[in-house]
Amino acid sequence: MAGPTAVAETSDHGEGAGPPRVVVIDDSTVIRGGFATVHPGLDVIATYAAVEDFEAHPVACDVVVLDLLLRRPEPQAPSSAKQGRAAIRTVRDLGYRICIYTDERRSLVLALCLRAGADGVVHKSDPPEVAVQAVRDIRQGQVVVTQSLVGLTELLDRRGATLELSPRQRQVISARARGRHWKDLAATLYITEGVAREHYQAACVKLRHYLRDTSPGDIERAVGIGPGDLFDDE
Amino acid sequence: MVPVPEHVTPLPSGDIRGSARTVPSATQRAERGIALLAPAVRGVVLVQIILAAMANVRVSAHPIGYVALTVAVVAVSVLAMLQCLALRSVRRGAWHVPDLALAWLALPAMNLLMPGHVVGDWGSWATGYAINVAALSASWLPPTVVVSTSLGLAAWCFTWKLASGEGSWPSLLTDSLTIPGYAIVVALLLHYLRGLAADVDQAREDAVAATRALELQRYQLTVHDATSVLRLLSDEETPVEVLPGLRRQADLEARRLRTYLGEPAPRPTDDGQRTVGTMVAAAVQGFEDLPLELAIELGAQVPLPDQVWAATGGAVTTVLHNVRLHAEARQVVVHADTDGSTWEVVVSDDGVGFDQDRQPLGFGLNTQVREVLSGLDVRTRIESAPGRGTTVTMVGRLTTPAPEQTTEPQRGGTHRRG
Repeated sequence: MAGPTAVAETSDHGEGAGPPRVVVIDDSTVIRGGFATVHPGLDVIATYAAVEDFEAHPVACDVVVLDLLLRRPEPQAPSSAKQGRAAIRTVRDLGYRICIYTDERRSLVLALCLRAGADGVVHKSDPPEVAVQAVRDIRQGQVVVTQSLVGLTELLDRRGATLELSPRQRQVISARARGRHWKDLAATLYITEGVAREHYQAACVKLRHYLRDTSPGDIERAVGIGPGDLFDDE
Repeated sequence: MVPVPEHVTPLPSGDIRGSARTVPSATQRAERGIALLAPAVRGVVLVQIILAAMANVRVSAHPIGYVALTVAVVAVSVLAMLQCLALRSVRRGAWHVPDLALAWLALPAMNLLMPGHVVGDWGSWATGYAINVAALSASWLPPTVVVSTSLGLAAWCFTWKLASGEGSWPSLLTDSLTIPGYAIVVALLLHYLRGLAADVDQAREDAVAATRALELQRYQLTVHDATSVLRLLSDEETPVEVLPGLRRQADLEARRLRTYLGEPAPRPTDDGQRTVGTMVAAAVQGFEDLPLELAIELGAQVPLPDQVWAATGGAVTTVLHNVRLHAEARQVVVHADTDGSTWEVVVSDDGVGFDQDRQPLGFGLNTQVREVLSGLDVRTRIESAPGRGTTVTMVGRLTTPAPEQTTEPQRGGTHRRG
């Protein structure tokens, strides 16, 4: 198997100090080559084309930036290359924090990524500063969700899922699901923007806990899909 | 096409499909009526004068002078009558002043021509003639001039009758005051009639203006979205990946413009339900270039009346056009929800926003969104600030319960006020 491609000198950053150290796993050569350039706020210490390569030659890092759909470029590559939730579980089992890096926007697919062990999702089309901030937040132990997952959080809560959101968290999620600006929703709720973000973060953590701890049948019922439609591979 | 009432005068730049028949204004019709009435009234007086003159010429002190005066009055009156009929107006013409002058002249003349018959005898017709002249002068002189002229004529009449030594002064005064009495009554009547006609014309002009405004508004409604599509299509800097979506939007706009031009447009064959979900799905078509995030599951099943479905869809489309043109947004959220008695659709972007205090809403947001939905009892709230994007919230009442309502009413949300 191919080893990691070193793109920067490995340093011993402590958690929370300096730019986050990241490993990028993506089947696109362009992304592996250009990720560090586009995201100067991140310390990219290695890139891999497949999870199996990282599994064979892991390196220490704060966050693994993982593409959701991984295809081996070589025609002779085994068809059983890990991707999607299998890839997430593998990296999670190695003890890393995971930021999914994808343009997948279907909320249920992204929810399954959180259930499989991802700590956050960022879109490839997002501005670089958004991705950098997402990685920083994940290094701090936060959960980073995209707009579609905010909508899913509201949907699950309204349909009786046991997210156990507080009234304030529910208000913040409701406003964010509608795309409201942080300043506006903070003003509407008579709280500071920082407090609003804290409520939001707490709700995101509850979403991840719910997705990880709830039975597949309960999640499927809450979302309103048929039994086995999403979790048939678990 | 907004129907134009039949009585409305077509405007030169108006609807070319309307009638080209020219209809006179109410003011014109009123003047024509007065121009018929005045000669008729004068005709009656002339007949009286002629009959009286024929019967009394023998008792005149100066028969030739009496006949000459009578002929002069008849001639001037006939010319004035023909003038009114020809011009269809009493307000213009050259024979009013001679007519008035003859009235002033006839009063003292009767003292010479009919001595002993000045009072209480139609042979001395000058008073009747003066009453008629003064009354008809109210149709062509300003009211204040009519009052002063008729009072002057009355004083002139009283003076010469008093000088004749016939009758008592109270009866002479009463006879003389008939002149301003009729003149003022006619002046008031004609003032009212002309005012009424002017009001009718003003009402008609207002109706035409309103019709034109409606037509203009409809035109603006029709071309507003098409303008942005055409501009983006013609812009060489429009990204290639946007073009497929723009072409689909251009096709939709072309169909709408064909409808506006009166050609039968192909009607959509969609037999599907009119719900918030299908409305949003139809409205966002062609906007694949925008970073859309749809979160409509909570309100998707809400049924909408056809009119509300179409208007709200058009409003969402208009908002998205605005986002595409102005917002520079990285994310556009379309959210739908219901609390069981109302439904809500929110379109929110994280773009540049605008200062609502300094920058008035454009035609799209103000008319195509707010006014159109207001007419269908759908409330609209538009919130924006520089750097904070724009949020458009539309809230309507459920006319029928949403099927399979599985959502609970919003609890403590920030958006369901009132």
